Amino acid sequence: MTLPPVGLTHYLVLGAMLFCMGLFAVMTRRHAVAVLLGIELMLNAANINLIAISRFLSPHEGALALGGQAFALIVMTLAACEVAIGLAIIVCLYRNRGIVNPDEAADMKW
Amino acid sequence: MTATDWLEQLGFLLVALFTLGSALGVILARRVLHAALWLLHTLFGVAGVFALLGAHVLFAMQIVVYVGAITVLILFGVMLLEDDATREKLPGFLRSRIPARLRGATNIALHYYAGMQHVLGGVIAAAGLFVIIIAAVAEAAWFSQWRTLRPEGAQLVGGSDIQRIGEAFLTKYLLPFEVASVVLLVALVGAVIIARRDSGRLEEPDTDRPGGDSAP
Repeated sequence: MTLPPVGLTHYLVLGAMLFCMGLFAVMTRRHAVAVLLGIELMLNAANINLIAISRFLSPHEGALALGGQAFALIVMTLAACEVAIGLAIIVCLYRNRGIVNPDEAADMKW
Repeated sequence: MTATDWLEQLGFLLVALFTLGSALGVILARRVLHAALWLLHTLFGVAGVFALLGAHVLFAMQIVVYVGAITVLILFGVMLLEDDATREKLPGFLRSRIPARLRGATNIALHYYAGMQHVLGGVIAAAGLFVIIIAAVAEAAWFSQWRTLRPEGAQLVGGSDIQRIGEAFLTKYLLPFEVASVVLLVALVGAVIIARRDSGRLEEPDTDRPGGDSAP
């Protein structure tokens, strides 16, 4: 039995699976922190795709070939910001209203 | 098929299974604390994927930043919320409707269902998106045969990865780099302000202000 060599498609499928699991977590979890964890899964899936595409398809050489990796590092920075702000909002919401389910915080819903 | 090919296959398979299995733990774990610990394993798995892709700097950064900082931050946040808030409750209408003799059979499914809502919508959306992405990937692979420009991967000459990334951040990607640092600063200050003890409480007057009208 000969399997195809590990190529770009493998990593893209892995990223797609991880992204869809993250989407499922975001849509179904009843706890706001668990929704945040789903968002982290999705960001990691995006990072896998960025680095895989940069490795296999980049036409550049030298420093420019690392565009995907540089982009992934910036995504990591933004993920750290997002977690800090999100946790602050969740803690504030729980302290003032006693709510952790994002569906219950629907005051601004039309 | 050479031995290195087999090793690459095996490595990818192991890392992918580890990552996806612990991601399953993230979406199924009933307690948020357990989900956060599963996320820690998922992030280690993603770091392994980065290592397989030859991105050694990203491998180190993933472990330092994601595993070491973000996960610990999330764990602190979970522990700041009180204990009954971290344990997601079984919805009341489910608890009352299930007869006692079926409880054993449905126990496991309910255990996982308890932390979720809108499960049908979530399944439809996730599966639909997955099908769309896979179709797109298959289409692109079939049309272009992935005109792979560097099939051997990031085997570049001269200097280490970290040197080239540092170079790129200070030359071509200088603007994104600076903007990211400003965003980080703003986000941290904003998080401190939002999470302050007296923020977001509009209905109560500020009673402990010195010289206020609430003094006896």
